Amino acid sequence: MGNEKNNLDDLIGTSGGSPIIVQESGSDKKILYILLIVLLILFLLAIGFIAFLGGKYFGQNSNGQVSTQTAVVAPAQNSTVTQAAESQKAVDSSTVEPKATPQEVSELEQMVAKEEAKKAIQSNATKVEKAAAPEVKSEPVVQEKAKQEQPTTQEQKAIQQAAQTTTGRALSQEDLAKIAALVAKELAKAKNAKPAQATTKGTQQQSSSAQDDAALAAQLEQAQTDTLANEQTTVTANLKSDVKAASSKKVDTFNKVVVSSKGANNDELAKLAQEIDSILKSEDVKEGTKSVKYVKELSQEAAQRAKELRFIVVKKGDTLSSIAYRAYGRASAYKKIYEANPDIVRNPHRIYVGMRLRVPVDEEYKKQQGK
Amino acid sequence: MKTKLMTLLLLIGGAAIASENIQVKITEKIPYVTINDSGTEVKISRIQDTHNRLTDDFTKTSRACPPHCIQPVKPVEGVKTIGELELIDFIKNKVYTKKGILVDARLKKWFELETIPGSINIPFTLAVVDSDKVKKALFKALGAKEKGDGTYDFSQAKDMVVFCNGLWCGSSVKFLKQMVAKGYPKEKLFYYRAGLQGWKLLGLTTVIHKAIEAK
Repeated sequence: MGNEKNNLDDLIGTSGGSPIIVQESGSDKKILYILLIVLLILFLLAIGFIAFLGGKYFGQNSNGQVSTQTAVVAPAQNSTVTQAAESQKAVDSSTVEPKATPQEVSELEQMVAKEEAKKAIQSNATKVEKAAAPEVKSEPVVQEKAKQEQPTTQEQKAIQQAAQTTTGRALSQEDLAKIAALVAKELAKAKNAKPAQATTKGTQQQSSSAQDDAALAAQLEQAQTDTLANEQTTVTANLKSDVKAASSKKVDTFNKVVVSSKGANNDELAKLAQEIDSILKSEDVKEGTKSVKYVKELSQEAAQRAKELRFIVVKKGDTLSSIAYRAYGRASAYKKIYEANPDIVRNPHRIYVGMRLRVPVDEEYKKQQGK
Repeated sequence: MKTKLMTLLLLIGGAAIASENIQVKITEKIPYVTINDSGTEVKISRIQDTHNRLTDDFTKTSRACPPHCIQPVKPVEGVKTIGELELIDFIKNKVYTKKGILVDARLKKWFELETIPGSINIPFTLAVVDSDKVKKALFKALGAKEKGDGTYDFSQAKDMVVFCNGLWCGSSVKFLKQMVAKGYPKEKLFYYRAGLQGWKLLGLTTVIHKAIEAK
């Protein structure tokens, strides 16, 4: 039960030799399956646990905190909605949005109060002023950062106004700086959270697309009606991209298993095979079939078949053109690989390291090279 | 939030379960069959990629005839011709219980390239060769017992399903004709006409025998 990995160079050397090694068979595969299932269960459990913890965490804190969870949890659609709301806020900035800002303001007020309390303990007004000075200086930087995202400056204004209305006094410069820093921090958090969300959405799409082969087929049908020019562009695009490791997308289109007679010597069938083999080697059979034309022709056909069965194993960093160069001595022969492996035309992302690609020996090309 | 994660979980779980499912079964009730071939458990199933096409040699339409001529459904009177399901049933029951053997009647070169799981190579040349010695050895290997008077007791002899490359392959027909002519009971012989081409056309599992070491 060997799963040997011939590389192309070996195969070119002995093109008639034993070819094609395909799937791992028997117990190896079973173990793999079991491992996969165990991993999957662990993965699901982990996600469930995270979901549970996450639910608890956000459930408790949703009242007290600046509303970060909208950004973390809500899908991209929701965040665009909030952005839209924010821009609306900017339009009439005199009124403060009732939902989020009171919370934010109360939070900010608490922060400010704490800071003030600290300073009160220090009880040195001049020192406070000195300490506050660098913060005031840093304000433009914070604002600059904040300006990168429009909603931030708008929100700042809104917060300022809200603070003024609720506390009944104007905030000092250093308070403003603190608020600005806080807002910038929260926005940065939200910003970081967005890509993470996008990736989870991406994996979701992947898993569903793996299921949905029918949609893929429909796409292909559309693509096939395209003009030649279109095909050309996709081909060159594929050539540029390196072969990706995507073992999860493995699709076995060979359905071949390598078996070996090793360890099967006690088997009745193996014994019979050996017996037949010894009869085959007897002089009578050799003499009797030597001159038969039919046997010769079949023999030649088998050699041809062996050449047609040639394959290569995709290595890391391979491109279709590099494979074509190895197999046929010219990078432009990638079309032959497409012809022999229609599944990669359908989905170029199905090329992965360790994949077996058919690269039948090109007799015509060999003849041309000879001339 | 919880519900969203739950749906994600379900999606992932669903995808995992779906990938385990066999979409392309052999029949409605048979998803796959396992058979021991040379000490290896081989799962006979069909290629699961529903877009897959044959691209190699077995898509070749034309080989010179003769020798590669179209074969009749009943090449030898009294020998039954069977299809894939009967063959799979034979593999499952007869080959498994050692009462029968699946015979690849092609030359050894062909057999080594690719063959049907559970099969044994008895090249048609063994049956065709006109030699009493070869016949005796072959019949003995197949479980026929020689009686004193030159006839054979076939009660313990193996049932045989014989195949070769396909509809255009005469090897198995030559083998069957010769075996019948030499006295092997017709009722113990079966002909899988579609051969390796038919087998591959259905995307069924094939095996490659790593060089069989003769001892």
